[in-house]
Amino acid sequence: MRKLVALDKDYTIKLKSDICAGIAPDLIFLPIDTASINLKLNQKINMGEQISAERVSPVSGTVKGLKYCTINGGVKKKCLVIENDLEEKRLKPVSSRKKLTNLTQQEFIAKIKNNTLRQKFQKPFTEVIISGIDDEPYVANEAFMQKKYAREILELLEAIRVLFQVKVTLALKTTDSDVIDSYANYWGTYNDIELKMVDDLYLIGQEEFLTKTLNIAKDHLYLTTTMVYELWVNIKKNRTVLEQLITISGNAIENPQVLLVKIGSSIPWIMANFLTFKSSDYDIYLNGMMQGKLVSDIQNYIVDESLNSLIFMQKDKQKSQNCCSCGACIEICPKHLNPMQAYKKKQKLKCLNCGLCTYICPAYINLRKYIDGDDDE
Amino acid sequence: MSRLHKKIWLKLPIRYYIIMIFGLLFGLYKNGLLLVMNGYSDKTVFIHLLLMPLSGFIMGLLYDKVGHQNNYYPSSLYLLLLAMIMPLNLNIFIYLGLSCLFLVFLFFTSRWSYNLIAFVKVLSLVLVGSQSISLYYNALETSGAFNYNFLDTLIGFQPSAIYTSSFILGIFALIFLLFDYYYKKEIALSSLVSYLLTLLILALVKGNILIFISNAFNSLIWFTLTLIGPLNSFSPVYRRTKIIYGGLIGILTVLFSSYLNYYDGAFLAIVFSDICRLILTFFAFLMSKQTKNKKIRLEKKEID
Repeated sequence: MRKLVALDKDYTIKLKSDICAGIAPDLIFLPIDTASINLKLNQKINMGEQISAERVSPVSGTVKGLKYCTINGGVKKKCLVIENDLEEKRLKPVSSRKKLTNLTQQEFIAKIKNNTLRQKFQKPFTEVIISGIDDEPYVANEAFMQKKYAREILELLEAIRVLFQVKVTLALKTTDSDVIDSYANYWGTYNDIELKMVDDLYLIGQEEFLTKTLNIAKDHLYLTTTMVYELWVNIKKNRTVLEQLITISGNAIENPQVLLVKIGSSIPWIMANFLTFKSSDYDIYLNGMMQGKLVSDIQNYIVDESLNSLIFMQKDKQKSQNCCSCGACIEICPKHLNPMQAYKKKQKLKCLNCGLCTYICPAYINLRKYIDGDDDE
Repeated sequence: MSRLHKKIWLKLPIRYYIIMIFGLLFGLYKNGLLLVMNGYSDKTVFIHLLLMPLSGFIMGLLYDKVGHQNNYYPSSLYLLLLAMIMPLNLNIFIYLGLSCLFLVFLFFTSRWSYNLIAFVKVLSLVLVGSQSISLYYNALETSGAFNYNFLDTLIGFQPSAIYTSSFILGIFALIFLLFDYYYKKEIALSSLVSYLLTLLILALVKGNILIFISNAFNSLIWFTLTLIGPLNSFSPVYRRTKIIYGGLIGILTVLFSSYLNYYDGAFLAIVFSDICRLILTFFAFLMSKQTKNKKIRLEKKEID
């Protein structure tokens, strides 16, 4: 395995210590398949009510129609517009009082609402590795998730350990002392869950690198703490997750923070209500500066499940130069690829999109642009 | 572009410039001030010493400005490096002609990845012919009035190019460059190690340890292997290739400079190593093409 590196970050960018709440948007935009829904204009819907096969309403309110919105991948999708009445009306209380460890394996799996997560549990595994690590610089969703829901996360991990009779390992970064503190009160109760610390290196949170670093068995189950909390909500509360944490950070804003928002909130609404900008000349990155996407027009973007961060960085005047053939991009690539081939010979590469080649290039060439073929870059 | 980027405190070209400034200062002392103080030359010697680097620097700046070149290594740096390795007494017009030729090559063959500076230096050897060694001596050294001891030669009192005469400065230059992330350390270190080892073997075979002592501390070779050989734009990019390339340069340097007694053997070594690399790359390209064609033929057969 190639040696992972620690990134040079701007340590002056600091997040607020608590999660901020942004759970009362006026309008919600839910990407849907129009053929599968049966709703009328001005129809009242409750929070948590099923709208389509894979969607539930994150708010209670009135259906206002359809609108084209852009989601994280840059894809335009037809979205159902719901006007939020701010009452958060639910159909019925659904939470279960049964202890998680008293469930059977089948009951546990049957309660998982997310198909991808359910499939993960249906495959055989001998070990579970949980990543509580944020790889992207300036993003801290996993850390804040653990600070807020440490007890819930450990409760579910204990249930997995008991029900599936497997070893459960939770991996944290040595630098995340706040996160370690948040678990401190519960270790006495959940002392069979193994805690492992890893260095603050870029990509260490990814399954491939984390399992190799910690020598985890090949037939393992990999989860992040966000996934674990989602499982807890599914199984304990018997509902789907309606809110999501997104990190809003960067040197172009006055108040970097981790925000709890409803799925389907509009990004311009978040920007108008929660952010104060230092200057108007900035770049916006969705899902991080290393692996994320640079967007030129944010107007129609909404929060969907795949969005984890919005980074606002002041525009850098550094211009790119011609390749100097230093080979640093080849040396640093975790997949042993030659990004210069993408740049010089216009070859497409099957890469991780980790962005390390762009990070390391002394000539400031945005190699990801050539690898991705992304015009926004 | 404003994506996250590795912080570079001192760019590699700036490091090269700093080394060259120190080299130039020592060169002006050794080949100018000492000569004036001992009455071997008048003050015009300074103009003579500065003419080549200054004209090269200005020429490079003009080329980049007029040609809208946006290279990581400015052309002025290349032409300064070229001036740095040229003999003291070389005709300025030969240098200017070679610089023009260098820029033409740089413009048309920059993608070939061969060491242009070494190539142009070898061309200069063809032009000056057999008198190349005598061109390195300043008036003081030509007179033979002083007998330098081993320590003197280490500090820098040995015939060399305009500002490459200090061996100690060469060591500091190597250490200074080794701290740079983008410096091709593998080439520099493997070439120096293989050079010293081969030299030692040659000295032992010939039974004359003086061969080792007199050649190991040659400052021009040291500067060539640390500054010219590992130049990013002109050298291989893969780690293993860099080590082999450096090793080959070191061995060939001993062959040319110590065994065949060419004073500029290190440049010949770089050029020969480049030729070997280009030939090998060409054959590797042919091989990969053949295997690709074979695969296509096999796939076609399977389909049929």
